[in-house]
Amino acid sequence: MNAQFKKGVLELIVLESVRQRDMYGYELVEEVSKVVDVNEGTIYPLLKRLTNERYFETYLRESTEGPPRKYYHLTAAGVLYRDSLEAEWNQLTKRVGRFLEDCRHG
Amino acid sequence: MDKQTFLKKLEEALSVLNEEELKDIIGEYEQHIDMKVKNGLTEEEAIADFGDEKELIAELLEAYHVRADYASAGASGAAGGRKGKAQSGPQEKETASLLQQFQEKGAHLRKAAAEKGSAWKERISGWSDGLRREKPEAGAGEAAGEAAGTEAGTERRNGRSFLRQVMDRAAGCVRGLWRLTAALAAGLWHLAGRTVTEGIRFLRWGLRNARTLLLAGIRICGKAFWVCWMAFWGGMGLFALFGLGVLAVLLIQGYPLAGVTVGTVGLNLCLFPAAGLGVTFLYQKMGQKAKVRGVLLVLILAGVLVGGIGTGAAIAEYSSMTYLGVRILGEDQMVTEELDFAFDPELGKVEVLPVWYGGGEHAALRTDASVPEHTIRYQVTYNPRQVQPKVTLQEAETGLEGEAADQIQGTLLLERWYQDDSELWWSQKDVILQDLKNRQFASYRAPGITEVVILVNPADRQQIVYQE
Repeated sequence: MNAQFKKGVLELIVLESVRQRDMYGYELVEEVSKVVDVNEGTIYPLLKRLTNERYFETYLRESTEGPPRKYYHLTAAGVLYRDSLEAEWNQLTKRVGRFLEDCRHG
Repeated sequence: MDKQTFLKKLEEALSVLNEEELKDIIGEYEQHIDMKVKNGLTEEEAIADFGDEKELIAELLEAYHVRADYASAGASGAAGGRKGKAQSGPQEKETASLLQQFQEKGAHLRKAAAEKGSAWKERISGWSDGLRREKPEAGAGEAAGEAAGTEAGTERRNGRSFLRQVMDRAAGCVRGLWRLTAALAAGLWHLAGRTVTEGIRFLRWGLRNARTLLLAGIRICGKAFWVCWMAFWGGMGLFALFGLGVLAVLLIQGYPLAGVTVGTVGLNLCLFPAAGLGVTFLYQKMGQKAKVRGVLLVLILAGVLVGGIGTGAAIAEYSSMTYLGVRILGEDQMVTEELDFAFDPELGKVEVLPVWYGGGEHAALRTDASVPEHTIRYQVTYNPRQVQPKVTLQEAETGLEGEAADQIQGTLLLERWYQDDSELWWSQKDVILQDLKNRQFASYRAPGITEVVILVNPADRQQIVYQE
């Protein structure tokens, strides 16, 4: 898939994944990889940015398998931002689809 | 590249960030690599999955709004000086975001004001143009009149032109007022239209985000409920704690309050954990919530048990107390006084009531030769700290009728005038408290008058009407 497409939609996928349930970084990378194939390293900068912008909040949870894991939780602002992204995505796909349809039929 | 080398490079490249943030990022990547190794990959393979290292560092720095080329521009020398600046990176980002929002809002308002202003300007200039167009016509009329000819004709023409001027000016004013009214109406209509449009836009936004807003609203209500829960049970707990302090002091003093004190301990054990439960529902970040809730529930149950034990002990305590019956307070302060009332037998008989005013005990009537004639003597035993008795003659209240009632000159009443008895109760409190300490209690009474005997001379007995 085109890298720019993936880059554009990655934020929405990450926000939606965390909205379903709180996740830690590795878990989120695995979840996102099921949808699009991305460099795993780019997830963490994205998570950092969204946390700095107050769309996520983080907390530590003890783990029996090693050190405590940092979980990401979607804030109310994050929910609103995710909804606005989804609305924009739907509008974009609809318009682009219609444009391609019109071009195909001349 | 192995894990340590990768993390070291990352740390050097991100040294511009503050220590806490740097530690957090390194920790996450390290944990990620460890998990991948656990799943069967080598460290090199795990690191390769991160992609290009420079791109990764650039994206991390961008998340903090730091220039991507900062890391390569002598980071070791510059980092020390700029670390202070970068420490406030997230705060700067927030401030910049807020400023940007204000600027955008300000630009939007300025644009709206400019549009409104130009619209008003057009309307007003149209109105004033209309007025200006009237003046040249009046001037031309005057000039035509002056150049007309004879003096008389000039005077007639001047008169007509003056009238015409007045009429033209009046018409101009009316037209100007009409235009102004029209401009105002158009402005108000436009404003109403914009208000409706904005209102509809807001409603649409609300409907689109209704579910989100509803969820957010439910979350806020939930948090508010738990805050009220905590405040209520916490406040009750504070009262119970205060009560426990009071009871502890009284228990040490020797009062039979062991059961009640234990019961209050149980109450405190219930109330504070109940408030604490609210905290576990309020704070999402709290770890081991289930464990904490379990401990709190156990404490509440323990409090119920202790409260039950205290109640049982209190019942056993109070059922073992001795009842002393009726106990008159201030018995040692009683005095007996004789109140004499002299009457004129010529005026008729005197009715004497067997009970005293406000009392309930029976006042016996006896004859006593030591009582002077035409005198009714009230021998009253009372506590002067509480009451002052007084004998007064009032209009007959007798239940008698006819001739018997006509012979009565009046009814003699014993009144009680109350004194301030707080001193009495204060002086007697030790009696009551000592009884409690001795596990005894009584029905405490402080009657003002305890006994009344009415004495008359045997010669006056017929003058007295006394109804048993």
